[in-house]
Amino acid sequence: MRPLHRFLKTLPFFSVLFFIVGGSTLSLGGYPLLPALFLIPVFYWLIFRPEWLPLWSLFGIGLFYDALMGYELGFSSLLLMASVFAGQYVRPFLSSYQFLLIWGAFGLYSFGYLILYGIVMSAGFPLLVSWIYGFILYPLVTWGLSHLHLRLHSYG
Amino acid sequence: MPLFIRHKKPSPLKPTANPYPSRFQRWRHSLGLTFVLLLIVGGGLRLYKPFYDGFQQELFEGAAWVQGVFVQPFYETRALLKDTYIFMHLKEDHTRLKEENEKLKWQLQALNPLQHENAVLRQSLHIAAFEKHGYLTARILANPYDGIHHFFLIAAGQKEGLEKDQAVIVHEGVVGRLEKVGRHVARVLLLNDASSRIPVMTTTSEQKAILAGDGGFLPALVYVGDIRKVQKGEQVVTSGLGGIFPSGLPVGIVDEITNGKIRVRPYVPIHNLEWVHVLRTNSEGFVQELNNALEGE
Repeated sequence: MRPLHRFLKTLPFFSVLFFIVGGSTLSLGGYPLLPALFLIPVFYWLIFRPEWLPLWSLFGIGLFYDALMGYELGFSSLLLMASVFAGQYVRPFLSSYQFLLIWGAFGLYSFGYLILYGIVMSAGFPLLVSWIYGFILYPLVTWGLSHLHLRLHSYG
Repeated sequence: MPLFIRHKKPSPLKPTANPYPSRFQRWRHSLGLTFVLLLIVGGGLRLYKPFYDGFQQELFEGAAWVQGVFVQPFYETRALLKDTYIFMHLKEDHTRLKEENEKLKWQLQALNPLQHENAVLRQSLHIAAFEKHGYLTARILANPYDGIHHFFLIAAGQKEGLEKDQAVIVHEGVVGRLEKVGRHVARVLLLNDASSRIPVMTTTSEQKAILAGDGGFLPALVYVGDIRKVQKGEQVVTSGLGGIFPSGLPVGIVDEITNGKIRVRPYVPIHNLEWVHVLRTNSEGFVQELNNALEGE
């Protein structure tokens, strides 16, 4: 594999980091976009190209997120790694032609993730609003990611 | 001829059976093993405190650096726009500042005799002089928020002599305290964060209390001496207890009192800040002195 191809295959990982770093300072009406926003690329790559977002990279992303947000290290890593397993079992039921089904699956996945997150971190309403934002923004973000996906796919 | 053409049902995203497993299939089979390995290694290192503390510190600094680099172009653009606006209104600002300067000169003349009188009275009553703290002004790098913690990252750290638990203020009032200090960056825990506790007192009813954040926009007063005496619209200032915040720093006003719950509206417009001042207090020294005094008793 050529160096360019190697680099291109790391772009899904950097797309998740981009959404964490960019989304962390964004809020609408005083309510945050994270963590639901960065779950969109995680979900997208786990459903369409899980081999481009391996387990160790999600482990690293979780550590980065915890360090940035000031939490005990490891909790987000655990949740993200659990997402890989969930994605593995959900993936066969999803068809790439049924967008609404995938959107609904994202709604369920992100809701489950935020429920666990909220229970451990003792947070409530802001996380619910974040989930609503994430659910609404899903088609827009997915549109951008699908273009990246096709471009990467064309490079083989 | 069929009336309806039956479309082929789209196939699910399921890998077909392959006698020669691809790289992905091999990876998928080793997923559980990788997971268990990461858990064992990560969990083991988490329990080894010297490694964990150092790693957490380094990772915090790295994450803050990445965040700072990412935000920098946006910050520069905003600063440029702001500078342009200021430049366009330079003449009006100059006139306003000139008037303000004249007014302040008159006020200063009136305050000089009072200052002298205050010093004489303090001397006669043997009241200790106010402790004067130096301060450092630092730029806010970013304010990451995901619905749980309220904090800022500031572009100053151990290299600038900052220490954990130092008070962070602006000219309107208290912002919070330093929660974590790296070499070049520090994290400021804001007063409305759920883990923030600031010893305060009300100015009119003189009730001591603790200002406790709960993640919302208005922190609450808890452990109030006599809750019936507190009135709406009263000023809340730091009481000086605890050794982190010097006494008398403005915090906010009592905004609402409902069902025994007192909410305080902070003076500081937390989301519009660009710069903060870090007071060079020595809270660790204070706690050490307190412990020594208690042991001495």
